[in-house]
Amino acid sequence: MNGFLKSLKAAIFNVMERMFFLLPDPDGGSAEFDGREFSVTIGVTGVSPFRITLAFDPGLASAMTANALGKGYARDENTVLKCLLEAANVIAGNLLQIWDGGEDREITLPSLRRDAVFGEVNFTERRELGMWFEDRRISVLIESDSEIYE
Amino acid sequence: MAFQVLVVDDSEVMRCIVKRVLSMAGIDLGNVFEAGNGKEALTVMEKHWVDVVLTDINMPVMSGAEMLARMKSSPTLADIPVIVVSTEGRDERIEEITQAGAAGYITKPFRPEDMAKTIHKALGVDPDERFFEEPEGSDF
Repeated sequence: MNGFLKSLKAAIFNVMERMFFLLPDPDGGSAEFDGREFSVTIGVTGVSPFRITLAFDPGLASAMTANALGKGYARDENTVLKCLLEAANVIAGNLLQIWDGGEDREITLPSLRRDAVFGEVNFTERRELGMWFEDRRISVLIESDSEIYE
Repeated sequence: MAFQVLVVDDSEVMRCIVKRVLSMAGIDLGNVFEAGNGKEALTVMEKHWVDVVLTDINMPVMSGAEMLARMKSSPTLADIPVIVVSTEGRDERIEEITQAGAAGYITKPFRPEDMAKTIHKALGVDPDERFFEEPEGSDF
């Protein structure tokens, strides 16, 4: 049985490894997180819709873009952001494939603005998790109604 | 023989990622053409020889499914293998698109070796066959 958080972590891992060729730090990274980040949000529809916001350390965002597209592309912030939107899209799609609760759900378009996905919704639950890839961090915010964790 | 590939996706970034993965996959590549939707793809195929098409499903203007249907009803395009590259990985969706004539299905995220295996299978090519061919005049 694949629970939600386990499936989300697996989806992030799958995308970072297969699409961006970056490996996780299972024990967490050691680099100081300076608070700067690039954020993208994507929603998942269906019974108890929810919203996932992925905040990437700028160094990680650049590494992802360089690995996926080539080093020259990582210098252009607009291209980096497009790359992160694509990452969010594939992570959410992969989540629906591996999570037991993924049936009869669809993903929304990803956005750089959180309130552009489902608008100003008051979700009843907020959970956060952090993942590290090659000493750089992704922070994940999941806004939902609690049913998705059951 | 170098293969001419057409990559169809409304995301420029994803087209770029697919092209990069193709270059890493060990496939003998000729030209790699790009199109932003099914309609643009049909126009590219009118002008250029294409050996295999890699396409997303959900795109504006013309979806991958509609492009596939039009290709199958065209005498000149019907035999070009179409491989769907999508985040949609449900069995029923894969079955549906395969029934419609797709030669293969790759679910994002994919590894270069997944891409190579699916393309070689769709083209009916054994990438290792050169190791089994007997050279002309060989005594072996």
